[in-house]
Amino acid sequence: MNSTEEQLRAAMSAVGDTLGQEDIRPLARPAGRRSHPSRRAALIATAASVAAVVIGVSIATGSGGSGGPRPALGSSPSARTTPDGAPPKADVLIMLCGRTSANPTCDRTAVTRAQVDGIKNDLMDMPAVRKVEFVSSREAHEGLLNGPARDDPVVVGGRPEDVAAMFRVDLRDPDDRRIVMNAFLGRPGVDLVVTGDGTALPPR
Amino acid sequence: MEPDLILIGRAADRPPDAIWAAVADLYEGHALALTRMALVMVGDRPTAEDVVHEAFLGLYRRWPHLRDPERAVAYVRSAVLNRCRNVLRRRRVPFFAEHLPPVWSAEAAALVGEEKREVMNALHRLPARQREALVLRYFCDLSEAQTAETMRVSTGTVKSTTSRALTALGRILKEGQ
Repeated sequence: MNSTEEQLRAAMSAVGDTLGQEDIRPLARPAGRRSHPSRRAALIATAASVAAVVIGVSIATGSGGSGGPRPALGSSPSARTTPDGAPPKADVLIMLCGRTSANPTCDRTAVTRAQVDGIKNDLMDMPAVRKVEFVSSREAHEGLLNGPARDDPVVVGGRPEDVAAMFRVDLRDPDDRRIVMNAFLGRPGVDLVVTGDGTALPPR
Repeated sequence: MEPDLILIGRAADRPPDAIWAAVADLYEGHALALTRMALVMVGDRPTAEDVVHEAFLGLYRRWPHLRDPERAVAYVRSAVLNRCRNVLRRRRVPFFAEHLPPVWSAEAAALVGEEKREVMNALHRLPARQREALVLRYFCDLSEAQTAETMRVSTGTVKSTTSRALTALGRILKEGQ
């Protein structure tokens, strides 16, 4: 008489053998909203400059398939414009996850209130940080609609919830951008971190 | 107009395409073994396939959070196991009592045989953790350490759970005779 273990092995093996390699269908890549026309699916990121800044989101990474995040448009949150309409530039922008974020870290989920609070608190705890401003999706969307890109079809067709919320961060020393970037990249709720190239740009 | 901000960082440390390629690669190597394991756990093929697919998609989504991509296989095995456990819990009926699952088609029944189906029935009368320990040790042929990692318990727990499970299984089979 076979031991219990042997009987068990034989039975499970027999069940397993009813499946062969030919029965395994290939893994289907989730298309999700990425396959929609990019002007709907694109995460519209707002930048700190009123000039229509094109941020090559796909620069070093490739956004994977059609309809990945398209170049972001510049705009100014309307409350913060300087006299000539240009918003003050932030040293670092922390773009937060939205439901249309293509970044797998975002898991197609908008950043939560708790995540926003956590990020804000941690930013304020950093000695390198001088000022933190949270820009909600709605505010950013308004800024786009009032900004120079307001006629762009991507903006016109975009909904408030498609526009990334973000933190605009001003530093005591602009050279500390990388510190902030490294601290928040990969953190749940964070989609992108955008920083300047380190060159001081004249105010417009 | 000059761009005056440039992107120099992105949360995922690999582009989505490279991550997908890695996940698809892993799938190719392990889908059969994992789907068989899921089949032993849940009893019907469509559910087993869905569970494994979902587990790999979950792996793709969580890739940037994986502490060690080398352990992706262990991660997805755990995921498959957990999903199987949830499927069984949601069914809330004994394994084969619900309906004859497709695996027990006439030809499969011929392949598997009545005695072996009795053993499978007995396996599914065990508590979930005991069943899982037996499947991982004696179907997947994992070591005690690998089993412990998959079940997120200590090797000591694996040892004792396995031993209790075999005893219980033996008793059920004897009662059935």
